Amino acid sequence: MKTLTTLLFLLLIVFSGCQKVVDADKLLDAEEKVYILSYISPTDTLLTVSVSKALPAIGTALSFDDTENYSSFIIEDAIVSIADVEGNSVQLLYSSENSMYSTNAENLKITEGSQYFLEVITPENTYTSSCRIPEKVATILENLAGGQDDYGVYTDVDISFEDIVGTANFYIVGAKYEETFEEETYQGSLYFETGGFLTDAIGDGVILNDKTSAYTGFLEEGTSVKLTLQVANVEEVIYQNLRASYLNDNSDGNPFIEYSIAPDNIDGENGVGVFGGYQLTEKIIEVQY
Amino acid sequence: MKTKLLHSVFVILFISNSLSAQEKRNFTHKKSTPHQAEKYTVSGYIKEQGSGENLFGVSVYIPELKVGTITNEYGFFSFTAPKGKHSVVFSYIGFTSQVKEIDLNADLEVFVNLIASSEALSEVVVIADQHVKESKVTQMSAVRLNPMDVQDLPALLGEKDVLKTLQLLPGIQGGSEGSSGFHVRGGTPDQNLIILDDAVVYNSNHLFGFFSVFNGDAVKSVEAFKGGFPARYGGRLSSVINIGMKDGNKEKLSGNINIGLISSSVVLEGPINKGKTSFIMSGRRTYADLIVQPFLDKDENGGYFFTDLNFKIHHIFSSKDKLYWSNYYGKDKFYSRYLDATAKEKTNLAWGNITSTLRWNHQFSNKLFANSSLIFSNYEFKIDIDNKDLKIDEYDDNYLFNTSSGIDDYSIKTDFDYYPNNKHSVKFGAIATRHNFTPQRVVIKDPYSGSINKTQELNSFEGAVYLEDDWKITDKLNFSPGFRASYFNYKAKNYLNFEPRIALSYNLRPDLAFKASYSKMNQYIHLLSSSGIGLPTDLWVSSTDNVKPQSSEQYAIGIAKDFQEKDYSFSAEAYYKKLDNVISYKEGASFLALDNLESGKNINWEENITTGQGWAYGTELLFRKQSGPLTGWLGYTLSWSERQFDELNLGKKFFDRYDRRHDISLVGIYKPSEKITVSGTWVLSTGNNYTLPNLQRLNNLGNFPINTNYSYYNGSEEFSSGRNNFRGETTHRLDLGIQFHKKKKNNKVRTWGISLYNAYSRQNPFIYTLDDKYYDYNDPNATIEKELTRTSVLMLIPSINYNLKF
Repeated sequence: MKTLTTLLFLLLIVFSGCQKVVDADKLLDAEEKVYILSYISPTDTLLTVSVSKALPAIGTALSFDDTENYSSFIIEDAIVSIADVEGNSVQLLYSSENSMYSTNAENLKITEGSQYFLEVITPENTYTSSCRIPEKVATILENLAGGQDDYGVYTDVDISFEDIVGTANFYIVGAKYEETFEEETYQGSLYFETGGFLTDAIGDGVILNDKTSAYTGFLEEGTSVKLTLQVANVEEVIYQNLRASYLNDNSDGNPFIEYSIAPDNIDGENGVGVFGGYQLTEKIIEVQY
Repeated sequence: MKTKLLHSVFVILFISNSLSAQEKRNFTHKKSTPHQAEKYTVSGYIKEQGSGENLFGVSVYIPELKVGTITNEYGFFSFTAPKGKHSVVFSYIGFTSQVKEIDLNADLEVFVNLIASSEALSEVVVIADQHVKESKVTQMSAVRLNPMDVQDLPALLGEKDVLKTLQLLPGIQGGSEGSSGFHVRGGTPDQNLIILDDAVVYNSNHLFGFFSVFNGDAVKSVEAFKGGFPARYGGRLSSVINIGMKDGNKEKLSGNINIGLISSSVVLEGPINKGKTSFIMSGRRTYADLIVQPFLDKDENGGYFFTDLNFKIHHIFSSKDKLYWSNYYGKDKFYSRYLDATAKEKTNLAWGNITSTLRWNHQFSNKLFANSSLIFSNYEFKIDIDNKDLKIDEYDDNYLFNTSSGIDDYSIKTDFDYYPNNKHSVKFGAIATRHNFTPQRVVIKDPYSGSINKTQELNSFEGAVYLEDDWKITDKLNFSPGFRASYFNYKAKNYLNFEPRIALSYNLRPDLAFKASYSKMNQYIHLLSSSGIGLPTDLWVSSTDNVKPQSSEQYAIGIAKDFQEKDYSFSAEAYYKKLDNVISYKEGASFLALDNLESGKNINWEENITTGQGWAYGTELLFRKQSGPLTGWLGYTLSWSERQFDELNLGKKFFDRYDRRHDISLVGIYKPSEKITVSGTWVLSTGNNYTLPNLQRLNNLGNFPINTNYSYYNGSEEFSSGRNNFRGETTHRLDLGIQFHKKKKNNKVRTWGISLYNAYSRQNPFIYTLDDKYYDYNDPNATIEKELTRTSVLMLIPSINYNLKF
């Protein structure tokens, strides 16, 4: 497929007259918006909400230093609260430490199947949203197979789990690794073949699986790597939103793939973003080398 | 809009009915006259003088009786007229009209040979009424293209292109700059039924849509329907493009050689058994790959070419029985080869169509004509990678990867033309098609990741029966009711749909007609395309139990005015089309996501698509001049095309990518003498819609515990707030062409053609991208900023070609 794309680009270059920067102001509508993001789960220790600006993609100069950019984006003076159906409400306060509004999860009990309501009041507008906490995946099964190639020792990780019966479910699969080499600990994420995005569209209650590989090229024999396998059952809005980001990132620069529009569930003028519930199942395994 | 159109249709129907009743009384009265009792049928065939080629769409008319008809696709006509002496006028665009005196006292068979205008002697009187007038036919939203126009108009790199010429007509819009893919009245390219000698052509493009697969030299007729579809056509929502190949010269061996900048073509035709059997074969190939071959590295080479081959045999058993066997083979291929001491690598990427049609014409009587066809149509896209390890070591590095997708159609079809009297012209028939889809076939032999050998297949059946009548209720009022019942079967799922078609025309004056039409269409097979530019990876798939057929209803009203003295015509049409169950990829799904070819992993295509609805409406104006030294047209389209999918664009309605508010095309062909043809086209259209990120936010916000972001960059992330949120700049372009003809010995004609595509070098947008603005790495205060970049292609492309007709 890469060959085809490359040939197509080469062809375009052959036929190309030129590339020219054009004034986007008259062509592309880019009204500033408020971007709100919050994922809540019963296992959270901290409830967090991020409130920031969405600025025009074209013509906004950003610094190479991310912390400087935060001041352009982050909205620090919002009033943020989360409530449950019984009217219990908790206010989240802004913390410059993580640039988010947060509160201890003990202040509002998050439970499976319950609905929650978010309210964000900025000096200009009020934004609302709601979410529901989905069911938790019971068990993760894994199948590991080791090997060695020119790049070093690897472990193929095949994880599977049973779809929750009776509902349309959206899953995000991931894995983290932690290894120690010369007294230094290295951490990272593993990426799965499907990007980690799975649904039960192929059948209710089926076994779903995804694969990834972990390379541990410079580990000495006898050492181990800690793998944390993760399966999150998420609300569709989270799934679609993160998948849109993933796909747009994946196809970046390919003009022949339609750009994905990330869904949002924030109500309020010029509000955009996601307030969603999820449940995370994790399994930690030690892989010996 | 819809209400207004419906209202207009009903008003016209009401007026028509009133008039019909009145005329019926008159008709009853006339029936008692003694002359009406003795009527005879005049039938026959019309051919081209010199080649014996059947002529389609010739007007056969007795002016004093206002009685007439037009020839069908096989040159056959039939009408009835009262006993007596009559002058029958045979006229056809591009040919000198002929008048034949007949003394009708029994049924009569007439065989007429028309002479092409270019070959007519100067003393032959040219009759003004040279072709079927728009105001005289019930059919609306249709256009018959003169293949000579295709030859005369300037073309990109000199490649004469039927589909690009059609794009110059109102309501038929091109896709991207230079593309032969087209959109009819707000439809998508897969909603166009493209037929070559009865066979469906699934991929009508070469070279990613820059050229069409139809070799202009072998084309005899081009008929396009944008709406008001006759019941004999079905299976697509937006248009029918019916292309007929030449049958081959039955009198003498003749041909045509064309040498162009990127390709050359040859046509050879002639009699096998003079007057009985003829053949035509044509071939075209690009040769850029052959030219660069000597300059490539000995160990490493590659290239691209496309080719077309047409072959047809026509045999006349008797005047009542004829056989046609038409074949088309077309292919695009990229290839690369690599060879050294350690490895031999071969990569091929190829796609193309094969069609074959066997047709039998049988004339049962002078009123009943039948054609039966056996049809095969194939489209296949495939990638072959074969890497052989030549090293002698313990590792086996041989790698084989073959994948293909495609469709095979096997059809049987029969069509009848019945002319019971001058009031009715009836067509009826049936078609049955077995579709064999292969969304993906994969064979992988990989020593590391293992071997895969799997094939996905979908088999379905599509059938239809139809009946239509062109009913001349009065001299002024024509009514064409039509009915089509279509059936589709996939596994246990059956779809049965009824598709009524109605067209009527009312002549307020002999040269002015009001027209209206309604048509319902169903489409059972769909093209999955994320690019919209006709990539070979676009995938044809069947309706299934989950994927319903697409359907449309189209209403149109219009007027057609002919200016007899000057041979000008003007038509205006307004249409409203509602589309249901139209399909699209879900957000982010695409052929790349669908076919992860490298791993052979396969995602069910049904999971990747979503269905929605669409609306298309607008107005088309066409002012045309079809005879004289200067011919051409001015077309204007004002249109809207919208879509709504629950799963796209947050469920909100959005403008289609090729929704264009205005489209103007000005076309002129000037032939001051036999030696020269000057032509030019100028087109202007509102820009296409694109989805571009218009906002940016901080990346990696929130506290989601799983990292789904492959990018390690922690800055900002762009996103788009709506599908097709960006309207591209207006495009316009002037193409110029000049041809110098010289008659040589033995009737040979040599033509030099020079054309200039995009003569004033307009930088029309092909794509838009967001890129990083230039910044100085060494500047500590440098900032990063995005800018919008327009990529333009095909600016000021000159070409020259040589043509020899013999």
